[in-house]
Amino acid sequence: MGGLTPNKMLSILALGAMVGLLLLPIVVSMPALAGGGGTPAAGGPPPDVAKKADTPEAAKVEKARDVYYKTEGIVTGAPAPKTADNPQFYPRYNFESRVLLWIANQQHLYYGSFVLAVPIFCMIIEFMGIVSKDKAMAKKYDQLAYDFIKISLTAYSLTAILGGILIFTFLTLYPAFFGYLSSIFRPVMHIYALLFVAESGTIYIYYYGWDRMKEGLLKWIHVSMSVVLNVIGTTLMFLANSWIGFMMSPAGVDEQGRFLGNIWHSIHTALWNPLNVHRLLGNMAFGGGVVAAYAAYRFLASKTDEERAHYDWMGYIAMAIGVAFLIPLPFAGYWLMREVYAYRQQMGITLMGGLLAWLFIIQATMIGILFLSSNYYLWQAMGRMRGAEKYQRYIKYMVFVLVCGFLIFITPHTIVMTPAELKAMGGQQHPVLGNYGVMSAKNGGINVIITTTVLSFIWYQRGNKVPMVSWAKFGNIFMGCFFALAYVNIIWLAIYGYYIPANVRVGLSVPQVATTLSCLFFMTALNLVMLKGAKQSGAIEWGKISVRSQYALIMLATAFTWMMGLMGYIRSSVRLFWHVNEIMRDNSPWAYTHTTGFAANMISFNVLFFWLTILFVFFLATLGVKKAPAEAKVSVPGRVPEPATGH
Amino acid sequence: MEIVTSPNFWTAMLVLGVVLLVGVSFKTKALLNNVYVAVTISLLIAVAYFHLVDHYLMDMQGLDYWYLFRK
Amino acid sequence: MRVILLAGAVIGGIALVVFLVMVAGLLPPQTIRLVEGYMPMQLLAELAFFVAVFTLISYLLKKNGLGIPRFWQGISFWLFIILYLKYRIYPPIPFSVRAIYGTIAMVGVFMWMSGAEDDWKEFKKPILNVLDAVTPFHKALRTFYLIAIPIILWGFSYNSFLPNLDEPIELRTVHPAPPASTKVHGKTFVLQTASNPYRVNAEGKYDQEYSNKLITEQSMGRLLKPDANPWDPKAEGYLKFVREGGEIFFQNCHFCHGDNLNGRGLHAFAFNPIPANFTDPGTLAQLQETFVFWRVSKGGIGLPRESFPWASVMPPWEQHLTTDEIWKVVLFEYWHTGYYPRTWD
Repeated sequence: MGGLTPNKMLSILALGAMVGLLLLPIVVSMPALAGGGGTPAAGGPPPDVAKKADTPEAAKVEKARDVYYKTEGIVTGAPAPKTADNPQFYPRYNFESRVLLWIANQQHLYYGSFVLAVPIFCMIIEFMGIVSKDKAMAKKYDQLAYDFIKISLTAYSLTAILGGILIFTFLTLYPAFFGYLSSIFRPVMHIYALLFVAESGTIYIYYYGWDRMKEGLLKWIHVSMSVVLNVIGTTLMFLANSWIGFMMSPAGVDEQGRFLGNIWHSIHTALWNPLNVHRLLGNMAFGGGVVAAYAAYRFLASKTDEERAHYDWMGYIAMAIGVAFLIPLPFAGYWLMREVYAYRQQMGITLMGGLLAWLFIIQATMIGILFLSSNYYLWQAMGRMRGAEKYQRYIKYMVFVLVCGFLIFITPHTIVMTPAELKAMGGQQHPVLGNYGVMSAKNGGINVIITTTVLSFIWYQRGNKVPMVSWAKFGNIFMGCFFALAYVNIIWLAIYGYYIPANVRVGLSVPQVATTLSCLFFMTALNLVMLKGAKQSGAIEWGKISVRSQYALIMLATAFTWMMGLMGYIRSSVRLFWHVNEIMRDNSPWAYTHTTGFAANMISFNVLFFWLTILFVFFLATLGVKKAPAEAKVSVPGRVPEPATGH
Repeated sequence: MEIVTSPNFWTAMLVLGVVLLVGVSFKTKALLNNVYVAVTISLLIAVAYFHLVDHYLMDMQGLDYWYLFRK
Repeated sequence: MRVILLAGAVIGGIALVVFLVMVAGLLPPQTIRLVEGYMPMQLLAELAFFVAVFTLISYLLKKNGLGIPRFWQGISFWLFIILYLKYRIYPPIPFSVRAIYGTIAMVGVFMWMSGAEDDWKEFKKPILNVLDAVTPFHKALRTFYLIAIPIILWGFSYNSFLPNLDEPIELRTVHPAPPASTKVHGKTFVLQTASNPYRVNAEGKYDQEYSNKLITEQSMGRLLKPDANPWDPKAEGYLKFVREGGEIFFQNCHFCHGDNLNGRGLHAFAFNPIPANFTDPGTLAQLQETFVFWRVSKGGIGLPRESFPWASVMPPWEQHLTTDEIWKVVLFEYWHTGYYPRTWD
């Protein structure tokens, strides 16, 4: 590695040059941004100057107050259009326009997140391949990354097509609203377009340059390119998020929706950053799930042991990445929720306790399914290791803990019941279950589930190994005590929450989360140290895993997809009858909230549609493989080092 | 009560646990692997650690973890 | 060691028998009491206890060569959970929740049964035996299922076609999202920022910490805090307002909401659903004080659209009480239940 230093320098230089070139158009367009958002027609001085100047000249320009930042700014845009229910504002086919837009949006989002996530995996895996000391392993990783990017390339063009369809749907069905939104975001619209071009350029060079750039310095440049690719991709997503953030929690405009000249305010709204984090993590988990499902599908369809071994391994890696991003996801979601409450209390109540509360119960179910299937997969995966039997005996207890956590997590706050049951119960709240229906208990439930998942993962890592360090016994006891007390602490905090006031109680979730994360980081680290030089009681026999595990992977992916559709729907419908919350009213005939059943059916349709099309994408990828059978052979593992610890 | 609700007490416990751990492991590995010694040290460290987590993470939010006990 | 195990199994066995007798209705359902205030944890603890008992019994039986086949272990455990949820917990859990719990329990049992490959094979064996029908017994069983399953399915379909005379299920939103502001007696209150003018400390400033210290002890019964008796004629400030609120409450509200504020007033059971129970942690304790103020002022008739079917007959109290009186009642309700209003910082 040391000899590479000049090469590294060169590669960094090359990388810098590339980033510079790619970002050039944006830098060029910056002055337009700074000068009040590309609206030279208004011609006024920049906002900060205007604020200071109290001259008659400044009095001529109309000033207004930002609805969120409360700063004063010069009105530079038209007010939000007041629409009416007629074909001029809402042109329509003989069908519900909102549903059409829903489908277009959701499909674009699915593919968008997929092509955002997969290059990030590629980056990680390719990097792992480069730093891997084992030549066979390095080759395997490299091949896997190449397989991934191949899938994402087809998906990438589909994303672009779907994006086009989405824009046309917007223009055709919601011209007034889309016109308003694009008038606000006009300064960044072309940046978005240019970034898209930059991303296309990078992804094609990245893909087609794979073979050319596989040695030495060029390989490093190649990896660096994936970094650039992902930076652009993430920026793209952030920009797209700013639009939905603006729709939910508008800023940078006055009460009539007139743009006040500061585009950064419109982008950086109250919910932008929580949305960014939540979406990025969610997309990664989703991408992992989809790739794992692909591997599971290929595993189930394989005819030879070699193929099975390869796809078993691929499914495992994808699952591990997906779950790694799944674990912090609830915490990011919690942050988002807190910000929603902080922004508008009634929005939070509509979500969690009011109109949409039932969808959150469904969401809780999906989260539970995700964690249950990942645990199940890990237990099944122990089946491919000799020596893991000693842990399999304890599965029943883990099931019990998981199920208890899940039951509490899923208990609805508002219970569906017949009037007779209501009378029997003597009130809306059940004296026992009512206590499970509140946040304090639910936080306890989900943290217990996550901690158990961590424990499953540690057992999986240990499956075929016996720690040989001299303090092994102490290590085991310490780990046991730490986990036991972590459970105690989580449950204690959940109970404690009932005895203290609400404003102190909400803070308890933070130490709860910290407890879970302590288990994740400290115990995984301790485990790795303990397993150094461990005695192997048997090799991992890739491919010798039960088919049930593969169904669990497919289940995982489906649950991810379904949940994404669901959460997208919830996030979008929490605006109720607003296009832009409290700024622009939705006066179309479809401004009502769908019934839970209809929404669930729509989500299922979107999920089905996505899986049908992505199967086609997968099919295209297999066509490519058949042309190069030699390459596929490379990926067959010979002696198998364990990626489990490398993760 | 006063003492138990003080973070310094738990910090001291944590330090004590770590000192014991280091001390014992320097002396002899066999003693470290003794079940009772190991459990004592582990419990000491873990209990103190979680109390500190609870205390300081509530403290950072400007809240009092020991609310119920101080009343 | 053996003795301890055996004793554990015997105790567990007795508990199980008591439970089954309760299910059969030979003993009153609350023979073993659910302790109020600890019920949620008691439920979990009892389940964990039974899991331990089952493990123990199964272990002892297996050791003596009487192992229960895995298939029946799984099925019977699941049935146990179903029975437990139906008969142990009181008041009865609505069917929708029991269905959710039962399904999750079934998934759990499946995960347990199929967790390791050998277990799964053992679990499948009885099913495969029936399907393969090698022995005459299994053949008879298979024939039986072949006839029984269609009949059962027919029964279900027949049942679902029968006209249903039950009242339809309502997805009622109990705590709808409040409006941003509400107008009472010509004054606009912004719910996010408004505060109870009577929740004040000795200096007359709004102070929740101060009032929190003076509310009733909610843990064991409802006890007055020392030196915090609102009915003391010398009581001033916050405590005086609580008393005034209490007087208003007992003149207007307690007929429905009950003199213990638990929703079991004189007229309570004339209503469907019965009035809100303020002692429940899911009502007052979950809400901001301004939310309660808004609900009291506007009553059932002022529920927003999402609260369909507006199943509340609470009058809009703004037509009968002044703004100040409403704030005082709210103050009293929080004081009496021992809950703190929710805050968002």
